[in-house]
Amino acid sequence: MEDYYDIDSILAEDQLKAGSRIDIPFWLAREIVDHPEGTVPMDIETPEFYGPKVRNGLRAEATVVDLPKLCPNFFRFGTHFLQLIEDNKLAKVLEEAFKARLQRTMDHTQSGGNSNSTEYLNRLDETERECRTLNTSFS
Amino acid sequence: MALPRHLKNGLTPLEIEFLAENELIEIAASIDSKQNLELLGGTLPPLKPLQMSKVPLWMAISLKKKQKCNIVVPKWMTIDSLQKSLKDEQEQEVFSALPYHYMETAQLLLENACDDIPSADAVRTLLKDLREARQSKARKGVEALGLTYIQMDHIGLMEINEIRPFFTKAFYELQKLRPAGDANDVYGAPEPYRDGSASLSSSMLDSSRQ
Repeated sequence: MEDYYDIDSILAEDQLKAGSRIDIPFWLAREIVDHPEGTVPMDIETPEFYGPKVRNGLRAEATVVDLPKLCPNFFRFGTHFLQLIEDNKLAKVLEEAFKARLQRTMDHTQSGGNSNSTEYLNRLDETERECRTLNTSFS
Repeated sequence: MALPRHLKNGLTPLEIEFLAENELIEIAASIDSKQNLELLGGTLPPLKPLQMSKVPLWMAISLKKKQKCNIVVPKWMTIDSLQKSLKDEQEQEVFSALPYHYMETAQLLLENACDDIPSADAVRTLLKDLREARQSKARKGVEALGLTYIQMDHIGLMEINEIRPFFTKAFYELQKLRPAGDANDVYGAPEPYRDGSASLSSSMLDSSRQ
């Protein structure tokens, strides 16, 4: 077995070059950013599902965007992501979209549901689903 | 909260009906109770035939079932008054002034004392229209879910209860979506609308941030 402190072995494992792009889990990115001892120089890219295409879609007609297809926890991940990265525009888009969709969601909590409702309900992300099921006992 | 699932949504409609039964209502009794009515909630003067007396709704209904009284329809539940409420409801942005327990009371009366209500069917239709108008108003409240609070005067207990779980959850999620920098605004200055002082304080906040 290799020596744990073998510097050559450590260097051999350290293959990341400056300027390379890798996917890492979000929690890891947060750990790196929050690390108490110095920082690793890196930029965090905005995921595609928060990109301009989706933003425009949400701005135009929030209720038709298929969120679970983009990210099942679209809004919840959004809150975490916005804690790490300051992006007021994204925050605004998410907030407005959430509000716009809420009204439609609320309609479905109160009326038993008509023929085209399942299609809409499939487009809800997890947070919205939770909101919806909260009320079903009264419908 | 560690509550069973069916209790998490607040009160059930039946519980609300139970609460509404404690409201006082006017009846014309046809019996003489001869003595004061000692109830848990207090003492009521004796019932006398051909005299108006105020008793809790549950008692009125129970007497009505035994055909020992006639219930006087509350003022707000007459055709004229309901028509006016409906008109207000459709014209104004705020909820029209109906009693806190209007839905439950109306339901109980229509169910148990139908013969005491003049043109009960028309009353029923009016109430239904009112309910629909109010429901769509409550639905508009979602748009108003904003920074600090949402005001809905004259909304009934049944109506609050209907939207409460949804609104609280939605409100909570909406606040989480706000960037951390706005945290001051959440509990501090209300949205700068109507009130001049509010817009002043929020502009001060802005300048202090820069």
